[in-house]
Amino acid sequence: MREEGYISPRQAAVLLWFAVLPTAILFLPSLLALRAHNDAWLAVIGATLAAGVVALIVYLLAMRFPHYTLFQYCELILGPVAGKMAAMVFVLAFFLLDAVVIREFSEFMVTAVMPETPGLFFSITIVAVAVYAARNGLEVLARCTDFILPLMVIFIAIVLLFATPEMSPRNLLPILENGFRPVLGGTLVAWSFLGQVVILATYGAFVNPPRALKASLTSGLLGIAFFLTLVTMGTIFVFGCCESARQTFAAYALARVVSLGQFFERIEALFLAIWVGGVFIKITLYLYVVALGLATVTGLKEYRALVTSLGALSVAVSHLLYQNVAEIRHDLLMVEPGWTLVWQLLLPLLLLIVAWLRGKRRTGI
Amino acid sequence: MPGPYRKPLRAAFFRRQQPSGQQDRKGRSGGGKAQKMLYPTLEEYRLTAELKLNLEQLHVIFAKCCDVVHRDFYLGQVLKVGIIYIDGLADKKLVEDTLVRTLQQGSPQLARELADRSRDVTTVMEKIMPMTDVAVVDNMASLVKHLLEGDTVLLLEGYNKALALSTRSWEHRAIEEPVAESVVRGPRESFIESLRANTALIRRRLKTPSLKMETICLGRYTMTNVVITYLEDLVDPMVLREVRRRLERIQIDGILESAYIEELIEDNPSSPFPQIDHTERPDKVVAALLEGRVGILVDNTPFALIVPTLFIQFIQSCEDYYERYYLSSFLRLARFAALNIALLLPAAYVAVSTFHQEMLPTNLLIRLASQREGIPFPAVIEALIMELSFELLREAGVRLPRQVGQAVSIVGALVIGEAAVSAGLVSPAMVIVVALTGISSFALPSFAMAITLRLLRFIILILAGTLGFYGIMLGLLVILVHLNTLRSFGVPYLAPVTPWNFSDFKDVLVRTPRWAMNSRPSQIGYRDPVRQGAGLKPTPPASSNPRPGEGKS
Amino acid sequence: MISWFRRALPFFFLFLGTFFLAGCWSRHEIEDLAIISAVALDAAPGDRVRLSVYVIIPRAVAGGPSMGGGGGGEPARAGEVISTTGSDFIQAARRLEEMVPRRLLWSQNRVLILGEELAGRGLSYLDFFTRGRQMRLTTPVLITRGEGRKVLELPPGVELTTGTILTGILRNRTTFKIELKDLLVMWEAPGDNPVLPQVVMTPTPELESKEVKSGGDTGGQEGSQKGGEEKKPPEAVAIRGAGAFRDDRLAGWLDEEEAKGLIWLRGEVEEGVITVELPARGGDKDDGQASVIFHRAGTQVKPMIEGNRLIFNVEIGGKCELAEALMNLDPDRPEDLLAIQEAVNRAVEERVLAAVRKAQQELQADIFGLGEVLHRSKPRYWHQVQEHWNEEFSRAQIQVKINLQLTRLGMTNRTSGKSREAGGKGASQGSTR
Repeated sequence: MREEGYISPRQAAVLLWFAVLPTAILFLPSLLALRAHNDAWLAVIGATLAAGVVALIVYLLAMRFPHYTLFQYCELILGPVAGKMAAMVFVLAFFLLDAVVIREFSEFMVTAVMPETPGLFFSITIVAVAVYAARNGLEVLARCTDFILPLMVIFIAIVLLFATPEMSPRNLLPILENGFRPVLGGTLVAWSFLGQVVILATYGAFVNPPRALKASLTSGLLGIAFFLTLVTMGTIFVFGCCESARQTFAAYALARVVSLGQFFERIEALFLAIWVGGVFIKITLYLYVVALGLATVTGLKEYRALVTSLGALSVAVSHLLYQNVAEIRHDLLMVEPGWTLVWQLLLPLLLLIVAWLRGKRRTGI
Repeated sequence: MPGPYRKPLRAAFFRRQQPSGQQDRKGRSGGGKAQKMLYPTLEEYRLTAELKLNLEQLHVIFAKCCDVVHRDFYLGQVLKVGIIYIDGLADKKLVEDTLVRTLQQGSPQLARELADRSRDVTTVMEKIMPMTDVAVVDNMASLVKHLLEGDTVLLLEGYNKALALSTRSWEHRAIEEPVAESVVRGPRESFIESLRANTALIRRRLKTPSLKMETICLGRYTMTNVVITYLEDLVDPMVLREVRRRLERIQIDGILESAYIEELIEDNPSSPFPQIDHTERPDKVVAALLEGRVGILVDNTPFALIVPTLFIQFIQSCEDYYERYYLSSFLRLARFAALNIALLLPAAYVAVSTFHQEMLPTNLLIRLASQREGIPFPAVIEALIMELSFELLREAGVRLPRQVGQAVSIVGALVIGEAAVSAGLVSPAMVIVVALTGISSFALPSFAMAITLRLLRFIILILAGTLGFYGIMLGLLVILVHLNTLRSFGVPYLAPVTPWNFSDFKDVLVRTPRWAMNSRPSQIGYRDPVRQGAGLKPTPPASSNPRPGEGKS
Repeated sequence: MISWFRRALPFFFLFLGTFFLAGCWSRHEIEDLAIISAVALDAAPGDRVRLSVYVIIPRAVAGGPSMGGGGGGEPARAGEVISTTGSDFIQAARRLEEMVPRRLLWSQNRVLILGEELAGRGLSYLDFFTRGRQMRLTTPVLITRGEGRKVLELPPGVELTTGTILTGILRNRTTFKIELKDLLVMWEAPGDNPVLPQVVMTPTPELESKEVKSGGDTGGQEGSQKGGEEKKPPEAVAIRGAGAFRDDRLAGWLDEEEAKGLIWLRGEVEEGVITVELPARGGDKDDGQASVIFHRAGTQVKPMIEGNRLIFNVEIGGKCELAEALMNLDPDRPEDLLAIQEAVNRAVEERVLAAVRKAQQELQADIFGLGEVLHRSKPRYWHQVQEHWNEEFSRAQIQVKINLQLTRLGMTNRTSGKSREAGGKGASQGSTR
């Protein structure tokens, strides 16, 4: 159940980046342009502030229970029965999130890349690789990010750089045309992605000096916000808010208008390949967290035995969740903000308050 | 400087690897003297005080061994002694000219003195022996062992101990230029099949008592001597202990090449990646020792092993350090490109041409399409056929004598390639792709890594042919995860890149100048990280460029 | 070890099996593709649409391996125009696939040509070209009078295919370029209306001189072209003029001058040439002529509201370089340069005003995107007029102020000929006509 290794604060931040960004970058710009129009980037910043609250809660909890995972201190705070139930809620939520990510991934692949191939095939293959990685533990995963992170960052930079001839920054004006209400709507949508930073409460237990969690949370969150703002602004610069909202995968559309010199006319296939790397990290991380959480709740010593079956289950669930990509969008727009508010903000807040009231802390270790 | 989280990790690793510490302690107390028992054990034989009896036993042991030479004579015409050695292993000239003559001409008085049973056999050594490397042997097993290693054994009448005189000298190759790792600039010496010569090559480069060489004997029949060599001040004791432990658990009939040992002491035996580097260059071994690594020399092979090994070592060539650093860095980058091309080019070509045609400029697409028109195979099959035939050609060329090998390559390249294209079986673009891939795989300095890439290339090619870039990415992800699980003697395989260590990047993508390589690799040489003094960067002489503020030179 | 193999073996076969199964799904060999290099969209009788594609025949373009040493000969047609009809474009595309033995590859499409009649029906037909995953959003869109299919059927010229010819011309930046995504943005923005560059089919060069004379008169141009078509088929294409839309319907045509004015006002001028006539001055015996080339010009539009009236202040500034002077020019006399500069500014202003007149009076559509400018700088006011913006636009006053400066003279200074005296009484060799 417990990981043997530790990860560095930097790796924790990078993992946090991967825990949010890969799917957010694909789905969010379009949804934000739909909700917040020109001010989509303001919505990202608003959501970052909200996620900052979650990060603060996570940090305070981690300071009270250093080297304990979220699932462990649930029980320490709420007692065995209520604690197990709360931990189970988290496990379930992470599991559902994993399934949604898998479905988003396969839906994107089918829609944008290989329409003739069944979506289930993409889910199965990526989860198979994810299971292999998750069984090798968090440390291996963290080290994988060291290779995929530069690729993703460089590629986003290249796309944005080579899209500059197509950009017109005038598209951003007028700022706050319809007041703050659309921005708030966009913030809610963006929140459901950015609130996923709560995942650091689980694997943050393996960050070696627990105090360094503050740095990983801050840098991770800022990194997410930075790239998300950049990509959102990029799509609005290129397409304007109406057309950005019309493109289902706006960031992918951004990659589609880019041509690298005269040789590579379209680089979206590379975008796809590198993005697959990012999504792979995200899926694996959630799979690992779910397995770890379930092992904690059920009192198993090893999470590894659970990974394979959980992976298979998540593939099945992911294909039961939605009918089509429109339902995913609807879910992301209407349902997820409320649901994530419950388990990403309110539940951890409750844990913190109860811990504070009952004076629970484990700082001895 | 070790990273903050590294130590507990490695400790955990070793804890998992060592179920019982007892075995380890025993191995360490044995140290370098850990000698395997001879096989068969010869337990029924005893050394007695009676020369005749001893000789009879030896005749039984070495029955039907025509290369064993036995000769009796009298020391100073009084004391009967027997000399036994193996022809070809012992220096016959030395035995005849020096040993036999000295002993025969010894004074009878001394001989009589020696014949007195109360004297110890060491007296013989002290009084008359014309040689320095002499061991006293008190049992038959070790006597036989000495004999088999080329020593000359001297048995004396009336003594139940024998003397083993080191006369080892056998025909071996001269020290030549390295074949597999030749350089333009740099030492031209290569290891040879003689262990002693090899250790001498290392010792000559490291004139320090902290260069340690522990011997261990492996192989029931071959009794191969294996030397663990390291610099005592630099080596990571954890790694050293692990090397000893893994070597000592080897139970095998014979070791013919260091590859035997390599496969028996790897961390992950089912991995396709080589986890232990091997070299035939003494300077490379010494450079590794100076970084805090451990070298393993094996008798009868010119290839030494270096542990722990990191992935990047397979891209570094020793000439990188002998040429100017700009060129070395450029070549290093070129090798990274070659690594990627060797692994990915055919797969990328197949993926682009069958899945992602939109990536190509129209003109190129049309050109490729017109070339492929009428080709009977799908692109992926075409690539597989070409790659396979390329591998066959290479194999044929490698195994044949050099002159015939050239003929094979001419036939292969010209006749088959050209004919296949003009017959319309293969598109010219594919020939270019395969050729470029082949060249790239030759550009890697390490043959072992090139072989691995060749194998993985086929898997990635099949993935690309079925799933396009997504398939390539899946394959790469599996490889990435696998590489991250690998460790070489506790050190992460991808070490300076991940776990990230910026100061070690001086020797990864580029080779920084010598004066900037101030520290040893942090994962390996962390016991003494400082390699050289700071500020070694040469400057013009002070007089020609005077500065007002600096008083000292 | 053996048990490890035994465990791994089924997975291995499963793995292999899956991939060979997967092999049939999305793979298309490169030689089985029908590479589409240009697409023309037309209306067909009875509410149907006609889809015409230019399919490249790779063999003919590149010369396959079997054609190794085949010498010159006249260039064969590099491709074939195939056209089908359907009630929408995907249906027409399916019809195409019934006729072509290969799989259509849309992603290499270079250009989309809209026919006049279809443009009159509306832009909503373009949905197929934005929804499909193979389509490029960066495909340039052109409009033509009559049928777009005719453009595709032109014989090859310098380039082998029509698509390459048209993209090549667009790259010369003689006119503006609208990509599919730009078109969508213009269409969707409430304060903007789409304009598309017009591709015209020109007859042979001998006939061209006649056509130019009938320049401004649109009806005449069409007439002459139709006349030319009967006698001699058109042999070349040119991109000049533009088609303007109101909302999504084609509303009218802009001729060459008006189209130039349009791109000045939209601020999309990247490079261009302006030729001006200069009246005779002392020392010259007939009118001079000068051309300037400009590389980068900036357009600034500032909306103002004065009482009930909406005023757009358009300022165009930039620098230009003298390219050709058919007159007596001596840069030592600043008034020469000043005269050219003045004339250039006037010419640009005329063009812009011509475009404005056309848009406000004939088309009654804001094809300049001025509504979006208003939207950005005065959102409140914009919300009042948003619903009936095109009418509001027709009433708005547009004031143009041109401030182009002649800064460079090229590699020579004085015009050639016998040098004049400083007093300006030299021989009149300036004009070389």
